[in-house]
Amino acid sequence: MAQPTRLPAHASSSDDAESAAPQSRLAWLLGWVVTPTLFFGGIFLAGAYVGANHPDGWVTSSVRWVVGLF
Amino acid sequence: MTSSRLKSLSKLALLLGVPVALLLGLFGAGVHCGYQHRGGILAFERDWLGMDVEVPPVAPGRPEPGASPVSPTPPVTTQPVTTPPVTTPPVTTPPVATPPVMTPPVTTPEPLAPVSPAAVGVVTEPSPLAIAEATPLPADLQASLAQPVRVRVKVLVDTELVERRPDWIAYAQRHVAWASQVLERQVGVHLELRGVVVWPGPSGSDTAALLADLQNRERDGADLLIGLSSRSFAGGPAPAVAEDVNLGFVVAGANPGSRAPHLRGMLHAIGAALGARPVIGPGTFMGDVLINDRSPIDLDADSRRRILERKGLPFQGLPEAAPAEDEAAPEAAADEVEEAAPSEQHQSHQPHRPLPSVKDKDEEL
Repeated sequence: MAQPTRLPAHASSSDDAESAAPQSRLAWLLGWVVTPTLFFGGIFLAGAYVGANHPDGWVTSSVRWVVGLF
Repeated sequence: MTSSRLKSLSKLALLLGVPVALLLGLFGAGVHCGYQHRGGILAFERDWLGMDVEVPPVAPGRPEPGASPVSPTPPVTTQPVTTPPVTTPPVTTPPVATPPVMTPPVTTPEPLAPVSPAAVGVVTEPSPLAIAEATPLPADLQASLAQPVRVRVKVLVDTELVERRPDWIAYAQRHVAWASQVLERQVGVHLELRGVVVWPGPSGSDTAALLADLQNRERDGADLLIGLSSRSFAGGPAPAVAEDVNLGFVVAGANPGSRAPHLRGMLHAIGAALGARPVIGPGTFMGDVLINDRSPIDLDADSRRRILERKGLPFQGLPEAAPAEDEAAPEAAADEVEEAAPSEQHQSHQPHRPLPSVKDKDEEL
């Protein structure tokens, strides 16, 4: 059965221009620091809220059970 | 063929499972952390975010969730209601002091021996706002500062504030305790909370109407009635104060953006009751403008001198506000929730029962 052959990637001129464009410091900060921090921090804070306000809920009980294994 | 398919499936599971597991682990870590520091988080939600949450009681000697020592805002610590505080030093009240309540309509604040700032109610929580160091005083005022005076206060909380803050009793207790901390340091005035009641009706009125309404309220043995208004603090002219008596009724406005919204307003009102005049500008709690929390609470020299000179004067009273010695009076008003101050060493002539703890009050609510 003939397999399709993958064509070699030809970098277009626009891709070259994009990769060569200098990334601004603000964009780097937003993309690598602020957004991930907000995302992961939000998940962590949501967990902390659940743990503090619903100590008898099944979520907290499950986490406590898992923590108790260690 | 089968092995390659299994390989693809395992790759797919790995590709999806690892991020999901990481996110779930992060969430679980948050849950565990939140459970371990439950008290601190709930106290933060209650005190800073204004959320209606119940802070769990802290069992002595057991670091139950919530008793974290690294909580950003330590919860209000309470002591058993039935046992008097054992750490307070013995206080000897001069037995020959003139009985103040026996001479209506004027009540006299009682001089008392030095007491700890935490003696108000059961609140030992320090003020959330920084308190400026008191500047040195001349010799005559230093003597006045060294002679503490106890002022019995009754707090009336307007209905709007009651609706907005389900913990309004604890709220008033905390503010009186914090105000006492400031006043003891600056002018040697110790506040003793006699009761916290609902103040129906006056919201939306002007200050004069609020004061007129306050004058018709039961005093219940307090020297000073403080009406906590939900209206924003707006300065205003100084109330007329007689030369020989202090004011018996004041209204405290709010600073909505503050961590202790009524602290500066209460201090301003008490200062006005003790004869200090409003000051134009910030830098003192007698100022006529709202101050943010970054500025420490301070008192200007003129106001301090005037309060020190007048703090021993009797407080203005009403003929009909005769000494309410009986404990049946508070129960007469259906909308009132009365509490008496804790039986401290400096026994006054008024029988009173221990002040319930903050948590007890929260549970009642």
